[in-house]
Order: sequence, then C-alpha cells, then structure tokens
Amino acid sequence: MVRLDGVTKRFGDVAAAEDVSFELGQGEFLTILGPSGSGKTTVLRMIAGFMEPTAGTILLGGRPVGALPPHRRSIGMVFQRLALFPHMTAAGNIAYPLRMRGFPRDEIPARVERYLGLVQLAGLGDRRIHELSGGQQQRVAIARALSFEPDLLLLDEPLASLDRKLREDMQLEFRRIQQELGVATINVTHDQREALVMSDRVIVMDGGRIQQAAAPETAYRLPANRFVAGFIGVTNFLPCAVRRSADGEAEVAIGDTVCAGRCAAPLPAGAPAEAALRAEQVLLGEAGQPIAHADMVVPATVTEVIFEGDRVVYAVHAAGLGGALLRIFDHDPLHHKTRRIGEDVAIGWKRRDLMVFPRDT
Amino acid sequence: MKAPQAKTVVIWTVVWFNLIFLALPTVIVIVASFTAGNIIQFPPEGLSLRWYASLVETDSYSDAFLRSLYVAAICTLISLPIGTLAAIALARYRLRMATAIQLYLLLPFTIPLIVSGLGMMLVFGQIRILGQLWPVGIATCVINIPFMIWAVASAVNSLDVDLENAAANCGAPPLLTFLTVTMPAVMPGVITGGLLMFILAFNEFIVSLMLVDARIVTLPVLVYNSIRSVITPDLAAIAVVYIVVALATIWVLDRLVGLEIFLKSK
Repeated sequence: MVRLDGVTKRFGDVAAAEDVSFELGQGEFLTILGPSGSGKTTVLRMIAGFMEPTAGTILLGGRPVGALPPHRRSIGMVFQRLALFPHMTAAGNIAYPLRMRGFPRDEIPARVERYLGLVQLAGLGDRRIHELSGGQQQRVAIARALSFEPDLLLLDEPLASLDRKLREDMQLEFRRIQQELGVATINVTHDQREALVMSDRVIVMDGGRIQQAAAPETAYRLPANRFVAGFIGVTNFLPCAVRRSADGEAEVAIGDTVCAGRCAAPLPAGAPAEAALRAEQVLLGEAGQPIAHADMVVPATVTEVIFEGDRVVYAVHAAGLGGALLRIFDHDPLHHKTRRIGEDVAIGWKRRDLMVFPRDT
Repeated sequence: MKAPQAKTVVIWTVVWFNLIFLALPTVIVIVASFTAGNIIQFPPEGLSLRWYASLVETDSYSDAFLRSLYVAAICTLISLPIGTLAAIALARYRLRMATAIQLYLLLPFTIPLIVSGLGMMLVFGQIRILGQLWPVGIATCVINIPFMIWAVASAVNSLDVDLENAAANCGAPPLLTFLTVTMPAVMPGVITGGLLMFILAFNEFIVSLMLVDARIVTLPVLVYNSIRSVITPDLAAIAVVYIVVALATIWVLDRLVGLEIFLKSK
C-alpha cells in the first residue's frame, strides 16, 4: 500500500527525518511513536504531500508519488487540531471531499448519511462545527477523512487534546472503524499507551531516525535499544560495567552487585553500559529473606510510597546497586501489604528481565 | 468581609461613570434635535420634528448625505479585495520582507490625517482628478486600510493552520481551496472590516475637507461649514442621522457576523 525507501528531509543542516524506510500492507494499522521533534510528523506530512522529501522515494499503491500534489493523492487525514471547515455543517464537511473528488451528485447524501452513522453521529449532520462537542468534532474529522474511501488514512495526533477518558474511548473507536473498513492507517503519537492499544505495528522514532519497528508487544518485551526501553514503559536504568558477554547474555557489575542480563549484541568487556529493569518487574520482599521467582536479591530502603488505587508506586534506594534509586510498581496492592517510608526491604528480579544496553556516549 | 463590598462599589461606580459619560453627549444631542425652538439647547424648548423636515427639504443636506454614501461605497469596494488579499497573504504565507510590508501597510496610522490629506491633494491635483468625488473614496480607503487588514488578519489568525492542507487532502486544488475554504472561513473578518471601512469613510472629515470643493461637499464638511456660520438645530438632526447610520451598521454586523464573534475577535 505504502512504501518509504530511505526517505530523508533536511531543513538546512538539520535532518528532521533521516533514512526512513518501512512498508505498510493493506488494512494494517501502524503507529509512529516518538517524542516531539522526533520527525514523526515530518514523515506523515511527506506522505500526505505537504512536504517533499529531500531524498528517498515514497510509493503509494506501488507508484512513486514524487511531486504529486496532495489533492491528487488518495489519502484521508485527521489533523492534530482537526482543521474542520468552520463555515460548514458536519454533513458539509463530510460531503466536501466527495464533491471535490467528483463523486456523482446524487450519491453524496446517502454516502454522507452512511459515514455519519459509522461515526455514530446520525441525525447531527445539520449541526455547525462549533455546536458540536470535542468528541463529536473528532468523529466528524474521521468521517471526512474516510468518506471518499481513501487508500490510506493518516492520523496526526488527533487525540492529543482530549481528556484521558475521552481519549481512551476514541482510541477504541478509531480502532473499531479502521478494522470495519480495513483501511491502511498510519497514526502518529507521543502517547505510548495509544501506540500499544491501537496498532498492529509500532515504529519508534527519535532524532529523525527509526529506532525500532516491531509489533507492540515485541517493542515492549524486547526493546532494541536504550531509547526504546526508556520511551515505552517506566524503566530503571542502572549504570554498570560489562564483565563478559556472549550469546545474547552479559555479566555486569552494578555497583558491588554482579549479575547477568540479556543484551541484543555482544558488548566488549569493561565497556560502560546500562542495565534496565522495568518498574513492574522489580519484586519486593522482606528484608534479609529470599523472594520467590527472583534470581537476584539485594537489600534496599523505601524512600517514597504513592498509593494510586490499582497500583502502588515505590521508590527504593539500593546501596548495593551503586546507590541507585529504583521505581517499583506493585500491581496487586490488595494482596500485598503497603510498605512504609524508611522500611528496609529486599528487591529482586528475574535474570531474563534485566536488559543491558551500551551506554550512550 | 468589607473588602469585597468596597470593591463592588468602586467597580460599579466606575462602570456607571463610564456609561453615563459615553452616552451623555449622544443622548443630549438626540433630545436637542427634537426642539421646536430656533437654537440648539438642552433641555429643548418644546418638541417637534421641524428640523428633521428642514433636513429633508434642504437639497444641500440630502445631496451631501448621498455624496458621503457614495464616497463610503467606493472606499468599501476598493478595500474589500485589497485588504482581504493583503491580510491573508501577510498572515498565512511566509513572504519575503513580510515585516517590512506589514509596517508599510500600517504607515497610514502613524501619519497625521492633515499630512495625508495634503499629500493626496497635491497628487490628485497633479494628475488632474481633484474636484471629483471618487478620488475622495480612494483617499479614505488609503488612510483607513489598516483597519481592514487588521480585521481580516485577526480572522485568518484564528483559523487552524492546517485548514488549507485539509482542503487539499480532501482533493481540492489550490484555487478551489481558496474559494471554498479560505474565503468563506475568513468571511466574518471581511464583513467586519468592510463595515468598519464604510462607517469610517462615511464619517471622514479632515481628508474630505482638503479634497472637496464647494460643488461636492460631503456631509461632515457641510456640517463644519454650517457651524462656522449659524448653529441651528438641524445640525443636531444631522448628528442623529450619523448615530442612526452607526447603529444600522452595528445591526448589519450583528445579523451577518454576530456581535459576540466580532467582540471576541478583538
């Protein structure tokens, strides 16, 4: 459906996107995830045709689009601030692409009705845009982007401005509509949860480059590098030194503690590295006692306790790990006792949960 | 407990003071215009419509009124395309020397009207169009165009930056995008600016005074001439005509744009 080959966009000396390549199949939902300035929106705008790549090619349906202007591309887009036409009704907005793309006049009203129904706005077609709520405006924007049955749907962080509850509802709504229509979709967001919830595949970008392209679960379980490990999920990074490394395993020294973890590529002995532990994979136990299922146990002191209802967030200080401060999630607060600040505890983890990354220099 | 009450008293005193002093001259003129006597005075000496009748009967007044309307119409017609396009271009597209152009277009604000009027008198005299009415329309357009640009620009700036991209994404080529999306979306600003230009040109005095001669006096100039000879209550009646025109403009604005949108866009 869509293919990008080495797409690069430079503004002067600054590369907003560098050597971006990926392919998207029919009906696939891809999310480009990254912080602001990572180049994700630049990539989206080049696909839409609002910007031309400095280098590389973009293919839509097998054909390179090169300098094809945006209005000649069969792409629907939902914009960050929606960009609905303020002087038209909801139905007018949805009919606009149909009129512009030469759909037969007598077919347009029925089609508008159908798409109003699809986004659950049946009967609200006559409303002006400013008479609709934020969520309803979102739905109009989706319907406008889809009514002409584009080959590709682009979502430019349209959910970023909504409050959390509505955003989560709309995420599922987007996913439902997308699956119902089977349209290939590229979504851009900085919200990791949204990326994990909605996508078949996630591309993590930073500094204009793709850091990892994988299924959401893979990106979470097997982050390709330190950036991905830090961007998706809450991760503790512990500075360490590599002692030896082979076969996807590394033995490292974190402060006075020597332990093993997995690593993507072999690391040279003595190299500075970082050991990464997800906050929910650090286990809490009684001081001086073993912890079930843990391969490593070290003593620690609780320094912070935040009760959030469905989980408790702890910060602990572990002198044996070079004085590191670790964040820990306890996802079962009803069955575990809540620790107190200052309490001596033991923390532990499974060998395979520790990831080792070369330290960024 | 006392502080908020004292605050309320102060605020309402200021509000009423302002309301009264803004409205007082207008109210006095309106009341005075209905006098039955021969001089403007407040309170009026009896009530009648005789000075309104005299306005209608005096040809010089109705002629001057129509001339002012004509000047205002010309000014509005010229400023609509110029101001709208300039404002959209300045607010929307990255132009070379945009700041310089903006400053240049705001220049009329910084120059005293008497100087602009003198300059235009010389230029119009040089190209031999002095003594006609339509150049007065152009002159009022030139000195007031910043208002038009400002009204449209504030409408453009409140639009989503991706509005035109959205239209292109819907399949509209650039010209259609402009006609079907950009123009209608900034229309409230265009109407606001247009009405503002109309009323400003209709009221314009100093530049008018320097560009008209005895055969083509506009209403403000005629009022000025009358004041210098005899002050009669028909001047109060003319003042009321001005008030009515202003109210009519505001009414049209409210019908077309909605006053709350107009006030919000400032």
